[in-house]
Amino acid sequence: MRGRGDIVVHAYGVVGRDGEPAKAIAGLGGAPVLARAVGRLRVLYSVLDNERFGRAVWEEHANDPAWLRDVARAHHAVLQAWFEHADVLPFRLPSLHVGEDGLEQAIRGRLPDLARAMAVIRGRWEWGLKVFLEPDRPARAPTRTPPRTGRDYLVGRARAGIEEDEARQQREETLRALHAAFSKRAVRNVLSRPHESALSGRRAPMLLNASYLVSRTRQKSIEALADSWDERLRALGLHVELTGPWPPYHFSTVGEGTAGAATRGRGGTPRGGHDDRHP
Amino acid sequence: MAVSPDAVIPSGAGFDVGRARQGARGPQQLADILERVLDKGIVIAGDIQVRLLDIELLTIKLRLVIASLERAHAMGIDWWEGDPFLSTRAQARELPRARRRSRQKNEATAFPTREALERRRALPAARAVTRKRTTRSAPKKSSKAPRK
Repeated sequence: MRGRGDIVVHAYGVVGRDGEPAKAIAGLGGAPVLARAVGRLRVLYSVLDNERFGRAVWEEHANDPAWLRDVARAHHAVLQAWFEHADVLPFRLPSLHVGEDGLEQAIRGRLPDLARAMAVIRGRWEWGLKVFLEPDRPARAPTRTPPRTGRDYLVGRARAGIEEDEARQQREETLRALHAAFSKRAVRNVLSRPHESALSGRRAPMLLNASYLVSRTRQKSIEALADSWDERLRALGLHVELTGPWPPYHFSTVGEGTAGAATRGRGGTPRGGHDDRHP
Repeated sequence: MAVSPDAVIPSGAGFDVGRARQGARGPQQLADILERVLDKGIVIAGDIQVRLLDIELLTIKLRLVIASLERAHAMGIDWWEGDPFLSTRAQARELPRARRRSRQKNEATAFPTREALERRRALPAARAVTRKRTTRSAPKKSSKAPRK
């Protein structure tokens, strides 16, 4: 039997009272995922070896991308397995507790907040929407007549600058319209900072990184919307990518202190350009 | 399944192929997962109130990793993208942490001493060799080192 000092408890999130995945899924380090009822909710957690997942280990691996990637994936896999069968409020990684009873107490202390948060996401899923500017899809055919004089060259450059400005403005307006169209189908929306191309792993600059909280019943509608916008935006050299459904990470908040995640309404302004202007 | 593909699934027709799990759409890339898992979601205080601060500090640290991932990528370092088993993880599994730590400590403190020991041990031999050679064109390095 492991003693209190030998273990650490990591909680994945809380779920509603009903539903569970057909197949049990392993959690961090392959540990079983347990569910404990607290009030009208259940908290999902694993009991882990302090040696492997204690606070010191997290600190030790804070700059270890491979380790982090594995725990992030394991944490996400648990929530991903559950969220289609039950309403899930994800916890941020890591959510460490000294023991199971301590975890239960912590949850019990926040039950009203959690119930409110649960009411927001009940029956709803998160969808991610990203728009990339594809370099291989030029919006306009480049005019390839070499300048004959210096004046021609300068005129050509000025014209190209104006065209680029116009294209950027057009993209910005389009992105606004796109965001509005998706927001209309969503209960809530969040605009996040677009990923650097180094992080996204793609050369195409990301112009929009949005998340929408959408009723489960609207899956087909949201997918069709993404397809039709992708079709429309091709002419502008834009590529629309829908990801999901996700557990409602962006829309799970309790009380203050976690503000900034689930903002109702216009979360910000989509960017039309691909320079490094960050809000 | 939906969690694993790092591979970018081509857009358009590729979407259907990319439906790794029922109802899932589009590739779930590491960046998408990290963004959500480390930066979003509910924060609940741990058992002890003090831990909240610790956890928050920790989260900030973890968030920095995303930034360092970016930097590393920019420098062309992306070994963890290819094979996670080539990375520190394999190392971590092979060596118990305690042993690894003590080894690191050894390397940090004892290594110069060991090196010095070896240098000292090597000295007589080197001297012997250089003595033989000194008459001829002795390389600067070997003639210099023993004299120290």
